[in-house]
Amino acid sequence: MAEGCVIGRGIQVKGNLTGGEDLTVEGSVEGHVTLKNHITVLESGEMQADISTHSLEAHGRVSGQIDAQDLVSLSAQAHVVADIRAPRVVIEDGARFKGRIEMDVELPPDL
Amino acid sequence: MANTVIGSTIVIDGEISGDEDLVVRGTIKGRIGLSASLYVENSGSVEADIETENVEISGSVTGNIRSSDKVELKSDGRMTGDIKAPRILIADGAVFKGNVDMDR
Repeated sequence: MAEGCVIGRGIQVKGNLTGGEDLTVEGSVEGHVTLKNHITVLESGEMQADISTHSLEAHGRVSGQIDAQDLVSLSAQAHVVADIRAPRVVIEDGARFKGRIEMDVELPPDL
Repeated sequence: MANTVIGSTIVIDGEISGDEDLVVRGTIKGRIGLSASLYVENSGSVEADIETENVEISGSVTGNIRSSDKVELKSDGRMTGDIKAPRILIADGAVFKGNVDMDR
């Protein structure tokens, strides 16, 4: 199997999760998640977490705070209750969302 | 094989529970409760109390294991802690320190 982290359907994780690789959530994750890479929450997945990541793609349920350096995208199946801070936020038709969105992210001073 | 994999750069501090197999290539601290099998691979490191059906250790484990079926310490495995399980296998080359209890 390719390198990467998968939390399968039958698994619940509670606590802090940190890492430097892509994470796919089919099960449930509760707590704090800090990742340098991409998070995919599949339709069966559920995250109740404060998330800090490069990018996040939600097809399932996410609640909490989402901080992304790049893109947060909510697909048509997503059900998200969260405050999102990211330079790019995409919400597709059909997605359910409640919360704040802040795209006005500070740029590095050398830009 | 199992479809839950904790990758090699991942660190989880907390609790993992569930009813499907779990493969650990990264680090887990806390508690693991599974009604399935736990595989700690070479790069994997677990500092946790573990309750599962089966455990297969090729990496390193610190903590107590209570297993309803089998605990297997492979030749690369390193473990410190107590094991309670009806079947316990320790391969040549494995490093183990702790108590073993096979009482059924």
